[in-house]
Amino acid sequence: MDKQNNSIDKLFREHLADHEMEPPMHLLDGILSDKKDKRGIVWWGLLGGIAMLVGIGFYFYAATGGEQPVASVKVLAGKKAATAKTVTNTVEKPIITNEGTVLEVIPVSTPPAKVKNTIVTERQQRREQVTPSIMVVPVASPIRQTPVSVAINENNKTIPQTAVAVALIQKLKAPSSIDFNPPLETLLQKTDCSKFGKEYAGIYGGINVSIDMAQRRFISKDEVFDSYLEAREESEQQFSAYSVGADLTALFKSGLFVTAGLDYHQISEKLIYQNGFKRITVIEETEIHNPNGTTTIVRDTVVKQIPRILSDKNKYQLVQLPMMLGYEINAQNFSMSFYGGPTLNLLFRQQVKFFSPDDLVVTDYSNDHKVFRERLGIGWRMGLGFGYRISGRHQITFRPYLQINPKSFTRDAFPLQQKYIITGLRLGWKTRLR
Amino acid sequence: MEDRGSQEELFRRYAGKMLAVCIRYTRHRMEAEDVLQDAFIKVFDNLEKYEFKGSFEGWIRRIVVNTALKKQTRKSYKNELYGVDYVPEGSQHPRAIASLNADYLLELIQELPMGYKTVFNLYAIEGYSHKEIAEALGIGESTSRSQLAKARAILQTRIAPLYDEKMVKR
Repeated sequence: MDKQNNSIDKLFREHLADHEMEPPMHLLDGILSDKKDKRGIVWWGLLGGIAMLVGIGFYFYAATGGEQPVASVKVLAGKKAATAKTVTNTVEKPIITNEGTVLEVIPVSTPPAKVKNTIVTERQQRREQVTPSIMVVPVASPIRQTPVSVAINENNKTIPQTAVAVALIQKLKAPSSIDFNPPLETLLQKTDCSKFGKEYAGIYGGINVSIDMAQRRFISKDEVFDSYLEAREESEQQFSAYSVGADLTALFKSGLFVTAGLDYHQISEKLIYQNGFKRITVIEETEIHNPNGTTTIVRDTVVKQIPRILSDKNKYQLVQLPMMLGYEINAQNFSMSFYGGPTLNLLFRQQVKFFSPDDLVVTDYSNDHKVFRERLGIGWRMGLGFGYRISGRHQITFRPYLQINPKSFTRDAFPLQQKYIITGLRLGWKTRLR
Repeated sequence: MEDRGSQEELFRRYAGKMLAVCIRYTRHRMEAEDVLQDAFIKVFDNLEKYEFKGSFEGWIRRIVVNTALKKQTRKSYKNELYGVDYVPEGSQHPRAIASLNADYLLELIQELPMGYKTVFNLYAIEGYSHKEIAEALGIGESTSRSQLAKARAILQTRIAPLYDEKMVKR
């Protein structure tokens, strides 16, 4: 027997000890980039998100934190015209109208002496009894050579440059008119400048929670795995999905906003499978009708074998960094927005069991990075937002959304691709921070 | 070793042979490629530790085998490794003896239960002693012996009909 066994050993050793296969060169890139890339993605993603938040904050601070960011030349504060002050001017390019009229923008450094023929008109405001002041600076037009007005300011409030320009252009169409007879606000309402969002511009912090629906899709790499795909689909059912998150939003005067934050998503599924059989004892009763009209009940104990059905809960956990760009409009206490952008997956964990592709035995693949990717890369999210202001600073939000994860949860080498589309309704609380 | 060209050459030279090793210790090619990938990451990370004692291929092979064994100690199929009584169902692969090539033998090994397969590979092909196998797998030497005996018995059952067939043809 030993001799036979040795011959078996020898047979296999001779054939297999130096057996060689085609080198799987497709693995090489994964091997060489394994560590640095995977860690790099996460850290660069985090740094990118932080940099974006800092950038948003800085931009907003720079845009609103100064005294006056618009292309005003001079500001006359209501009735205090005598204390007119020169403010920071961030735009130095002249505005040229369709008619070729040049609206001059005077930089801060321009000495007041260079401003000639300044005309100030005042108009009573119904509310707050503050008079808006308009400074008109005559500028030589290359075509008409007529004075035109340039700058507007109302009660120290910022008026966007485009609004000023368009309002002025409209006014200029009326012949020989320098005065602004129509109310200033009326003029501004006729412009393209959004009336929404302007007064709501700021930095907002928000938290939200969402009941989600995760639509799973299995894709077989090869038709030989089709039966495996069916077994997986039948045995793993959707159970629940939810997400929670916190975000920071910078809403600009134009109504545009950018949002970045952190979201935690959890997708739960139920694995139901048969694990052998179990025996149950059943007492069967049989009624026997006797010829004399009586009935006898016969009890019999029967042992039956029935399938043992077990279930397990599977969990997929994701931490995402969403970076959204959107547009918001406001009407009274309501706001509506639409947004979209990428979400970067920072963390992907699994607590899962399912059928092995080899033998259909239920196997624990929790956090098995041979089967599952370590990160899911970039996903895409889009959605609508509805808000209701319950006070000056606080609002509640409802945000239906759709998120697509293009990458499969499983690695390319696994027989099945497993992709998800997540939809949900986010209920949130948003607070203006500044 | 950061030169990609050298890394590629090294991989090209040894990956085919090491993949064949991995396949003997795993259940399917996908798993074998995973082991191979992990093993070569270790190889590239530890190249400076190679002391030019013994063959370089042997050094890589040890890393590959150890990586495969480590993989076996994880996951649920650890339970199927040892103590499973496997009843062979006779020859399921009646092939001519001419086809008794490496691929077919590899197939036979892959069909063995994980415990039998591992011990047979380590003892018969890699040349480990039962003591070394017992230490590597955390089992007793007697278990290693019995697993080997069962593996041989199954392989013998599978191969015997091929020899018979060969004799009839002659």
